[in-house]
Amino acid sequence: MRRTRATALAALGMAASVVLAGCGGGGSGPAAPAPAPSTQNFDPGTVGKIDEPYNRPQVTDIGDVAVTVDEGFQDYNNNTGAANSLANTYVLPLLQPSPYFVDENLVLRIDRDYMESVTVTSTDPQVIEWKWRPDAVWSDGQPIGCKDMYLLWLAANATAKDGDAQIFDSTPTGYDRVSGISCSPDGKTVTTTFGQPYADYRGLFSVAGQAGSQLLPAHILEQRTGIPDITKIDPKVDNEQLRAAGTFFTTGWNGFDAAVALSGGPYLIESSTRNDTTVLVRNERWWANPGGPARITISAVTDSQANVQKLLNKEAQVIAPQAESAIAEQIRAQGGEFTVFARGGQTYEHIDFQMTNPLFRDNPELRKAVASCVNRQDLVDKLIKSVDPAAVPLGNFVFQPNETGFEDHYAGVGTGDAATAKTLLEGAGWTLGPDGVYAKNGQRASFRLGFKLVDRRAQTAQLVAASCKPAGIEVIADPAEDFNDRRLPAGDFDAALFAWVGSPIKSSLVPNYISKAAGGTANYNNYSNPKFDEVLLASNGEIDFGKRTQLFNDADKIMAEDLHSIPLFQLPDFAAADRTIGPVSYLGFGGGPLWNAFAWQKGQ
Amino acid sequence: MLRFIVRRLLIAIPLLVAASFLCFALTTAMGDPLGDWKLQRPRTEAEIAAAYQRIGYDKPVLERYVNWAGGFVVGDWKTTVTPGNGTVDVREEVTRAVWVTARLVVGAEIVALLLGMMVGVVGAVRQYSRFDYAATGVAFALFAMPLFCLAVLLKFGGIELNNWLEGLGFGRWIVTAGPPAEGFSGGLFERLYAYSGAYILPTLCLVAIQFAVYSRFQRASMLDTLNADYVRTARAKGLSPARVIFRHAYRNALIPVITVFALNLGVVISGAVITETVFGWRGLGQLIVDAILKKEPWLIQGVMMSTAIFIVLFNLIADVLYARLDPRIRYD
Repeated sequence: MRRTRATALAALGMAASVVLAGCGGGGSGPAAPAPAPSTQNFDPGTVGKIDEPYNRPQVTDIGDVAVTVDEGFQDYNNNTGAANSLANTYVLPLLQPSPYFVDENLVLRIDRDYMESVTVTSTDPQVIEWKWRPDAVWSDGQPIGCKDMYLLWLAANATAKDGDAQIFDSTPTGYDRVSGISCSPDGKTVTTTFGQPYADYRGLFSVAGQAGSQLLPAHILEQRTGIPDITKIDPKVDNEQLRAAGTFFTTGWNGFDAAVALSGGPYLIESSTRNDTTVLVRNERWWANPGGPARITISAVTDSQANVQKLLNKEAQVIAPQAESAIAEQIRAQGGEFTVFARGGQTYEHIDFQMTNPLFRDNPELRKAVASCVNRQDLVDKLIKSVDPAAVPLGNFVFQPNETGFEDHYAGVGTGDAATAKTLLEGAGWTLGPDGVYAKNGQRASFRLGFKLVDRRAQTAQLVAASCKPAGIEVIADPAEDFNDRRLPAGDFDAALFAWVGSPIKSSLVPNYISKAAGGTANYNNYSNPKFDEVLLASNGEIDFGKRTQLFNDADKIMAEDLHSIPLFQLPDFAAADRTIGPVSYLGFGGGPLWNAFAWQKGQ
Repeated sequence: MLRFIVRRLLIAIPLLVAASFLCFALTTAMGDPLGDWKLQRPRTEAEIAAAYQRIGYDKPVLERYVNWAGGFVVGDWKTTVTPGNGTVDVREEVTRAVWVTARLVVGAEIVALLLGMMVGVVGAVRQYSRFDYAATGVAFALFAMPLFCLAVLLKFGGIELNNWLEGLGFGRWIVTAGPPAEGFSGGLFERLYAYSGAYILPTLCLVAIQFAVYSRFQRASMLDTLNADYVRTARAKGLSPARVIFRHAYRNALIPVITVFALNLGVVISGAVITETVFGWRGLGQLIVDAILKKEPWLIQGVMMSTAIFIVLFNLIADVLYARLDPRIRYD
């Protein structure tokens, strides 16, 4: 559903509407209804205010549930570069504690099953106080709290190395802005002081965060390494204790070992065969509302058709295969026996122009003409709608249509309007050549569109070429198996068709778009606009949610004016389930099809 | 014979070295194992450099090969290295996968061989009979049918059977994907029920395809021997038909079938890729597909070298079996 700016602002102005994540979003029939908009908070940046809370709902016991996913659980510690994978995040949010919970609108809400509060106590310097519930404990009875948070901060900030590799194999993003962590005597109140303001503090120590943000039982590391108190280790001092902690951190939690892989959530792992089958059962030490399923068996089935057959054969009640047209249509054709959830996910396709190429750098009218002749709706209709009938062209690089804060800045772009494209080119002095392609100053309106050899992208390139040909623009498909590996990072393309993975942690997109001089390590098309850099960098330090949302939208509007990149569409998230169980949906951030498994009920 | 085996094993060493080098070259040409990882989100240069060092890709290609080969011969097959794949011991993973595949294919291959031999012999002895025509027709139909297509048909048949059994109050027996869960406990009947339900479809699938191969080989081979002079002589001597067929014709007709079986077993133990994928068994076939998709260099090397070893080994077994079946063959 496309929402206007006015709608989005109205949504922002609404009082916090509590939409229980577990009680919404279960798609049924051919298409899942769009979720109701939710707001982050009235003003969480204000000292003393807290974010919208979340509690797991009270549900009844529904017995055993079998789920299939495309890849199986592998490692308990998903925080290291070696282990971090999406497959682990299907399982871990059900057993690793997190101060914040991501709901179906990608809103980060304080998880009140874990936290009493998360409060901004000062904005200069930025200080956040995290208060854990006294009854929040790991499955061995030890308290969840400061030590666990300290371990992640230590892992991210340790400077000791083996060769070039950091000994904890962790990334410092965000944590490097935390200058210090202090613990209350009982370890339940944690105070983090930031050296630099960091608006995405909600993503720290959280399942919603990037790699390196899942809390681990630090007391296990202490027991196994003989370190008496992890919070006494200085990340900047390279000593034996730090290295022992690093060794256990990178090896001790690999795979699954019940003795060290504790649960601090509603479920714990009963057994796990790497990348195959993992069985979760209720955590008897869990203090809040228990989950609906008594046992969840999660199997890895890579073949999409095999997933569907498991569903039809009632071997699995919930499946999350690759989002393929044939699969979606096959399940929908079964009538009302199964529900299908399909919704635009966080991964989005786009076409980037290489801004160091004089053809695009010196001719903004050509970029606009291409953006005009591309038919985004046609692409969505032909490539996405068979899976997600509600799909629409992407209208914003920062916010997805189902996210709070979304404004469509590209409504008039990519409409397949060849006439406007020609007018733009002719108005800037381009003349149509005998070959049917415009030219100006010896340059032809012709470029190669590079992409990794994937069916969907080959079809996209074909459709783009076909819709731009009447506009006198020649688009030559330039597929390469190693396009993403080599040519894209090297900027070796005229235009590139590829996808970025979005995130509710918005600071993660900064390096994709900001100029290289300002830190745009993934700005492969070399886009540069000082005004844009200024606005985007300001957003990174703005902890007021409303103001920050506005800054992001301002930044996106600048990109829409520059048209260095054309947003195409979101790739759909997809799940299907037996109608007797629900609500089942899919959340790419934290859980996949299992993100709300604790709330599943029968007879929905 | 012993000298022959030793000689063949010694010849296999340079063969395996050449195979390992070729595999390594292909694995290296496959592309950057960190390519997709680098695109997942922005990475700093230091982060990327550290990742390359961790996976050993900061060293020249030849040095990487020497390091790997040196470890391989002493049992250190290295670990998985690409980000998100953890650090799994390659040798353990390959051993696990071989066991999964072996459980699936060995039984099916033996059943297919026995069935194929039986049908092939009867078809040859009663050439152009109704049975022969029917067996030939079925074999050609199975030859022509893609394995995944047969698998899907079997699965839908299994689902219908389950629906029928459930209607009768027996519960659902057939499992469409995945081997029996590890550590399954229960009584003997419950185990038999669970295991047979999980094995029946992939086994039927493999049997159907391989049976077609073996029955055709056996029939052709048997026809050759039945028309041979020594068989005619045996008949002329007044030996009973059964003695002529089994004592004189069948034993010689086994040679090509056993050869195909030994070579085939080497191939399928190296991974029944389609069967494992369609039926969700995470054996060697699925492992190599996963490893290639993830560009996991040492895992690919481990699987490819295991495959090479199996092929060499089963070739050797086939040669040894020749001598056992045909006394005229001497290797010394």
